[in-house]
Amino acid sequence: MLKITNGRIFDPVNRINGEVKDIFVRGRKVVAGPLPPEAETIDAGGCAVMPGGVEIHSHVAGAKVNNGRILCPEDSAEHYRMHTEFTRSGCSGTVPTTFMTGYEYARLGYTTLFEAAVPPLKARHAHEELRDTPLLDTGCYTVMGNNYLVMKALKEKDEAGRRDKLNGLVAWLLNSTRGYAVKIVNPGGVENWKQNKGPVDLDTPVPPFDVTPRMIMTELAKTADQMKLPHSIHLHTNHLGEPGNMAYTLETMKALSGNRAHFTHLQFHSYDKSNSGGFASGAAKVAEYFNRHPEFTCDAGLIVFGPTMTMTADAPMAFSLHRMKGGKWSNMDIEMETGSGIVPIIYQPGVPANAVQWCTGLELMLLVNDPWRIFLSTDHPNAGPFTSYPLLIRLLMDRDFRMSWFEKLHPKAGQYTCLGDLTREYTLEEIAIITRSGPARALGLKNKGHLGEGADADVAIYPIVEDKQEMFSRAAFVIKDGKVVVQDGNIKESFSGRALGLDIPVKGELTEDLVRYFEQYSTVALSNYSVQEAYTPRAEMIKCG
Amino acid sequence: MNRQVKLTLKKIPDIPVEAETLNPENVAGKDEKEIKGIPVLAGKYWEPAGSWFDVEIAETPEDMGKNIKLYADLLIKGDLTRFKRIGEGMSSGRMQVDGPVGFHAGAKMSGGELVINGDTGDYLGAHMKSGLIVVKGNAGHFTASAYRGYAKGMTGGTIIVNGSAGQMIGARMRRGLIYVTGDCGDMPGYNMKAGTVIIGGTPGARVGARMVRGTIMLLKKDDLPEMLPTFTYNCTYTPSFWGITRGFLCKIGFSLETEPDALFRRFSGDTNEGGKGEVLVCT
Repeated sequence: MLKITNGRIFDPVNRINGEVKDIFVRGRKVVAGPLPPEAETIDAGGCAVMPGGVEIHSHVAGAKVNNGRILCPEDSAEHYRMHTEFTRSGCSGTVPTTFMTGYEYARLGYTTLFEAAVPPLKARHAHEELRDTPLLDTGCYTVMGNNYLVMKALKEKDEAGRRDKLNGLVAWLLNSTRGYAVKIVNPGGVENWKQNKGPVDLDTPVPPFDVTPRMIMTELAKTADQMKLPHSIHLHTNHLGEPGNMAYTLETMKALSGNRAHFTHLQFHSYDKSNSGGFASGAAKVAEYFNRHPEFTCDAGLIVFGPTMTMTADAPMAFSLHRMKGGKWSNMDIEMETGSGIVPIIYQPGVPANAVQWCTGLELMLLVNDPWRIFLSTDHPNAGPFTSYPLLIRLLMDRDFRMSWFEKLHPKAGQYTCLGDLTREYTLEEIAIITRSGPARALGLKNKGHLGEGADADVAIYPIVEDKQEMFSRAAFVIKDGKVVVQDGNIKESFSGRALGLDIPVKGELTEDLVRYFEQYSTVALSNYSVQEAYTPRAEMIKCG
Repeated sequence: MNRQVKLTLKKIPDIPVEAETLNPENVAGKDEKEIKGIPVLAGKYWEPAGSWFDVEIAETPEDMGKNIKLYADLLIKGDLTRFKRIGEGMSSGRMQVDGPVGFHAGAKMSGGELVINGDTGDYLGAHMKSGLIVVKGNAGHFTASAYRGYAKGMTGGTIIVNGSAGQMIGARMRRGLIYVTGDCGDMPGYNMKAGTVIIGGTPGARVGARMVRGTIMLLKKDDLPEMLPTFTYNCTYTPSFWGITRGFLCKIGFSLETEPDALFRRFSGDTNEGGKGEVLVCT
């Protein structure tokens, strides 16, 4: 039992904005109170009390993350930490070890996290690592955008048959990988590249089944809606990071309008083309369209200057990045499912493209009016490490600070972006929405992202100071499952969180032709394909619908 | 008068000891007790240096040697094979080890002199920035190379091995000079970005593989190793810098048989990396 007193509560779901109120915790839940007098009390005087943070898109576990660690041993060597009484040793840096990931997220006040891209074949690995990522409730998205079985199902000519086949297949894939949502990465584009062909547009037929990216996206979006999955499709569209890709992003949005969709790291998809063919910000146009479509959500994918590591299932993008930058590159082919690529890079304020990218992300955050539909992310570690969230929060909350950074950028940033004209500053309530309540709602997590009765007892308490970067970088207290796990920025207790999975009413199964196809071409037997229950020992199933 | 700290090993430890704290800067101005209290990492515990070493402090006369000075600010005697990181990160002063040392000796060194009268382990002078390392014995693998994952290894300074060296000497080096009087293992100068590697004996296979720029000199006469197909013969000539390099090596006390006007066959490569590097073979 725990009582949090004197704190200023920021609970946007229950419309509490900075009022002083007490929060009562019994077991793992927030309760109405009052509690018996022997309950432990935390004095949160002068502090902001918020629900635990919810990370909607981060690459922290699985095959490619581990490949990133292997690819950059120097990064680990420079950032090692000794064990303490409560924590294990490990390395941080751009791709921290699993335990460090958990500790660092907890120190920032985050208590829930979703791994953004898990190919079905690598799901076991991802779940193993997520289990070793402490203090966080975790889930993962299953990558389906270039899956042969999905494309084969889409090839079905009969409309009704195709729908049934696809719904059964998606349910089966989610169940067998213990995934939480349908992730689509560069639909068709990865497969086309693997077939030694160029980039794809919405209506490019992709071998071997000649289905188009438009079909893959819209049909999977419909499936997610029909199955009433708590989270919509989680979409990384084609043409990531190309100047002028804004037009394509708008086309994609038009194709999907009417269906729920989450556009992830939208910053990377919102570039206009400058006169010389270089980067310019297209955030204004994307935000304008996005604002008019309440069925969409997005996360920003804000750039952080400094060294980082791009890791994505979008293998062709990673390859072109490698050719542009030189240096290290790792590539994987996940047989019938997807690809992946890893390239370590450094974002620099003096490089015109990076400066424009940096502005584009912030513009999106400032131009999308509804904070319930745009979330804070760095697409960790692609655009920057998640440990930079406090800095980004300050950039959003403090215009003068933002402009002091803006002035240091390459002069082209002023020419090709409109960041200098934007005066909006986020409030603490809006920060609470973009970091916790908003993502929780978009993910359909009813017990997270708020502090009302029945909510999970995941609470973050930050000391209110003028410097918002300082405020959010060291939580005064973090409570996970009703236990104080962080005090004054130090880890006080460490335990595994729960695995968030889906409770899908239909079991989902493969049709006979898909089974035959799988057995013919896959390197694993169908019976060995599913991730067993043992991989998610502390599972919490979220109901569809 | 100079002050010399002399450490004598009492017993060989059972487990590896990381002793980067033992360097001339760290012992300067300290008395015997303080030096004995310098912590070294034995396994996973910090232990005082006094549990492994006897300490003597002596006054030595001002140097009278001709080339390499005869005194050392810090002299360590004994079989230090189990001691890693001896002289790591040292930036000034002169240190001498009479006996073999373990891994990472003189790594990340940014100044001063380190003389090792014995064999060394791997990663001698890795990521060295400046200074001089002289080994009178054999060096291990990855001498002056980059640690795993880094693009650049040694960025300056001089390493002289009066013996043979292991594989991949000067791997990914960016600047500096390495001279090995004897033979060396496979792939000397692997992916070197710049700098000079001079090998007195016979090198192993794949000399200069992936070299971007820089110079590898093979002094053994008419002993042309099998070059990679990405290297091409250019000409036979006497490089103008050879006389200067030779003079420098002679000045610090090495007599070279190769004459200042010796002829070298020049091979340029590695073409896969742009072909700006060169391998010079004495003829």
